[in-house]
Amino acid sequence: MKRQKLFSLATVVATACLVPSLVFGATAAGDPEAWHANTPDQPGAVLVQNATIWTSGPQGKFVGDLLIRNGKVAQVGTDLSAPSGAVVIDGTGKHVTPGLIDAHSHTAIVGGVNEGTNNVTSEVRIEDVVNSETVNIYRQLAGGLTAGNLLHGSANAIGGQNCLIKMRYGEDPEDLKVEGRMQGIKFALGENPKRANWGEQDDHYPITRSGVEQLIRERFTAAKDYKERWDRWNSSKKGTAPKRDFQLEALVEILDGKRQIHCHSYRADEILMLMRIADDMGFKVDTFQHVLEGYKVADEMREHGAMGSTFSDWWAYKFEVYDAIPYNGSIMWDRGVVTTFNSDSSELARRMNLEAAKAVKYGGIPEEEALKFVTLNAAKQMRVDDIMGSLEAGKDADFVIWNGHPLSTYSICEQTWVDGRKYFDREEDLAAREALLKEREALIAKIKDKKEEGKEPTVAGADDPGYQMPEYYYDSAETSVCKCAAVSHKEEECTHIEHQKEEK
Amino acid sequence: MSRLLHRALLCALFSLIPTSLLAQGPVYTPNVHALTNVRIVTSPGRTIEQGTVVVRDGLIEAVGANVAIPDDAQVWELDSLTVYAGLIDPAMEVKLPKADDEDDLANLDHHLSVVKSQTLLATGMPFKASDREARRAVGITTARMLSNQGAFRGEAAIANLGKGDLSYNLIEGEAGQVAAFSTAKGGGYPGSLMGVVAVMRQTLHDAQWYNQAMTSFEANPRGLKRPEQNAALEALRSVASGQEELLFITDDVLDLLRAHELAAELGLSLSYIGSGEEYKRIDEVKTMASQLVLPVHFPKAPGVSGEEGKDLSVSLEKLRHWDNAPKNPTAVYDAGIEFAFTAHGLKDIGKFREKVSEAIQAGLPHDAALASCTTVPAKMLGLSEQMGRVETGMVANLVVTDGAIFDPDTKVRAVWVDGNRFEVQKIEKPEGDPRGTWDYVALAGGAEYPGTVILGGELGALTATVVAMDEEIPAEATQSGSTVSVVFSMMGGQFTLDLNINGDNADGSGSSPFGDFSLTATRVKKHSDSKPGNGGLDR
Repeated sequence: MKRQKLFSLATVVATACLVPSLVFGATAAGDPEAWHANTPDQPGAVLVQNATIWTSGPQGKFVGDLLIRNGKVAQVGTDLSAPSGAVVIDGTGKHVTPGLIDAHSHTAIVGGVNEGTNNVTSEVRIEDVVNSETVNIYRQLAGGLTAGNLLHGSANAIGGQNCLIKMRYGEDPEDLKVEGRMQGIKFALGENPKRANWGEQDDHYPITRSGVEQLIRERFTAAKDYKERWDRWNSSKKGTAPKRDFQLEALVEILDGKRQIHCHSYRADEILMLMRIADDMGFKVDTFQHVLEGYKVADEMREHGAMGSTFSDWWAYKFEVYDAIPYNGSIMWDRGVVTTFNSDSSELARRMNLEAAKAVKYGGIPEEEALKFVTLNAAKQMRVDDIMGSLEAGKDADFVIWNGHPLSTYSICEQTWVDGRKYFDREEDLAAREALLKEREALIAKIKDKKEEGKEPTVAGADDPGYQMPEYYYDSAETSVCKCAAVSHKEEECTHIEHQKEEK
Repeated sequence: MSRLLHRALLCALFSLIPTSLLAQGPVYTPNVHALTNVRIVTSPGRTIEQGTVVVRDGLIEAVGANVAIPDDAQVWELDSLTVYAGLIDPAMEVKLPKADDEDDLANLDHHLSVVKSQTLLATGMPFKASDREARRAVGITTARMLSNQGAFRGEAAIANLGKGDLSYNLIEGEAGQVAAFSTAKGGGYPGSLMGVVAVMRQTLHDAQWYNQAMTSFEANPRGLKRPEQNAALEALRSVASGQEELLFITDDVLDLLRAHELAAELGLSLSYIGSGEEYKRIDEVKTMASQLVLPVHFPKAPGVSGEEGKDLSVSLEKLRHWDNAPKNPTAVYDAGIEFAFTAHGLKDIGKFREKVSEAIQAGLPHDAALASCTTVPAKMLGLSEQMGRVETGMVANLVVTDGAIFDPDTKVRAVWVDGNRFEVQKIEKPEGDPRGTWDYVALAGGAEYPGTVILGGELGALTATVVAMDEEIPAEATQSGSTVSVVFSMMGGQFTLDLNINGDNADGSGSSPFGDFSLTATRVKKHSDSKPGNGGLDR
């Protein structure tokens, strides 16, 4: 699973003979490159003692201990004794929460978050383009995030399939994925799929909200047809089998209750519209994303069984969101809708605890319930609440140690553990910076030496830019929603913030 | 002079050549050679310190320390020089003219423009003399050529890089299907990387289905509806059924991992053109690829300036890759993966040997480097019994050097392809502006053959048209110093005109399928940079 440290920091520094040898064995914590990062050990047992533990589970919040064994939560309680050989952490004065989960992320996707060319793209899969190499994974770990729901963009009424990952920084794409769980798909309603006011769109269909509705109905009708064709063939097995159609297969899985829908939405009318299609066609909508008018139709959502993943306090960034209010989350929650706050942003995903805190600020939700907006409820929305989202015996050992109250702007994430492995440690990160700086200095010195020997001409500049960083260094969420990225993925050309607005 | 008359004159001029040979195409004489008193590296690790290589009719007839020189051989005394097997590049990307407009799709093509598996590169590719010359200059005598277009790019072709047309050089016209993660150009589907993967998945499943349907139908058509024909799916049948390897071009290490996953899902057999950053995920790569083609496009050092060690304008990632890239071949070698080098991705092909030498300096054993340019690619291409070694019966593709082939100071003196000798010329910086219209006269066998060469384009990227026998013929032109070489095809063969330009006058020499000739030329019109007028419409 893990590479040898063939090209380690130690080699470079050793050849340059610039630093004492004790640096050589240092773990490259906080390495800006995933391939260069070590997989942290998984101790047989970890005991966090005497901390304020927010379980997000039936045990609530209390001062006590958390025992981890072999990557799973073994016990949560008071006065737990440390098994022999356990890593013991003194949690006095500290707070422990479940690992935070981002219900709506576009981090760690390479080569574009939208297949925007067709109005239906249910055949495309984020799981094919997971970007294990982005440093955003590490940065989000540093804010206590342990899992993210990587969603296709909202360019089409029926978008691509999403992928749930854990923030196992350093692992390859396959090892980031949470396997063996129900998969989902992105749908989108409103402006983004219809694009009526986006200037000239010669042959774009649909261009109205009713067109979006008809398109979805038409595709599900086609999917039913397709299913029937297979059912007929399966009962006789005569002649050539029908040709597989991956676009329709994804929709058949929805009809069969084997694939969940995460639907980008804003307005109450379109939210009701999709639930009516679902009732007519016989499927469920698991989550509405953004859902800024969810507060108007919370009862209808609850009755349908739909959950809501919204922004804490974003509004007025385009016309269809003018009715947004910051109380949306608390009202949905109050009416019994399973509610989360999400990031939709690689940057915001580094401080999801503060998003949760806004559920307390706007609507006075109890603190423990507010924390669930970024833990247990997110796990429920991805149907993984049996393995993550709370600190309960048997669940994955994904947890965060904070130096204070997790909903306080003054608190800092000290450690983030995934599967019982410490993927982030603030102290180690700070300590490793010196080594990274030395490594850089050694390499720069090496270039200068070569230059003096006349061996290595340095890059001239515009006429020869030298090494072009591979596309995966630029997370698609930061580039591909930008128009400039259609032709180039150079970070300096991206007007990131402008286009992020458009994406939402 | 009328075209017919001209042709008649040419025939008269070369009437000494038997017509049967004319019909066969170019004739090269003499075609028996002995390279003698030369150091011979017959294969990596095996050397004859002083010996002779006899070449007859394009093949190596004999190699050894005590080989008798045949009476009919032209003798090349090569004291203090070394001869190697010609280098083989398993990944030469050929730029095809753009054809991404879906309106232009032919009847049996796939409805998606990125699916071009029906492309037979050998039938439609440019076989540019300048590309061949650039590779010969570094000792590359054979290449597997790959299309640069589409996600499914069609059949590769393997050819020698000698003189004459493709038909004389082609070794294998169906050298395997090629794929790469390329989106549709011009805004069509697929526009994203994940879209390309989805298209590949669907297309390969379609091809599997097509293969089954066709196989059933071919076995017993009676009572079965004839499956719908599709050239692209037809071309992918054996790849989709796992019987034939698909060659995947990767741009970064994640591409390789992704291609591997797709292949595992669909039961395909893959081989890879690597990206040069396999070292980053070498443990994964080791489990995925037993063979690799590796580029040597090691980057230049990033520009650093300012106070010692404090330059933050260049990222650590860039610095590291600069340092690690030349070690990539060693990492792949140490991982036990067999690999061949390619010049693919080098901006300047002329740097190929220099870059391989960087890999050697970074730890790669010299013999492994040589094998990666000769025996290994020969094996990959299924040509082990034809090339890659200087041994009896092999094709006479040879490189003559004045030292160890990957020593940075070593010069390539000559290259032999199919038993034909090529001087290696260094391309000099252009001197003077040769553009304009030149009337030339070719002198051969006492007769004069007039013609015109029109040189245009940009300096350093000349364009050329030759008017001969009342015909306008597209040509290639390259300038080195004050010499311009013009290459064009006529009468089923290749003609070259080398003009040494001095002001508005030039002299020089030329070659044709029928023999060599001398040249004189005069510039009758200067090149004009002005754009065509608009007929005064502005006014």
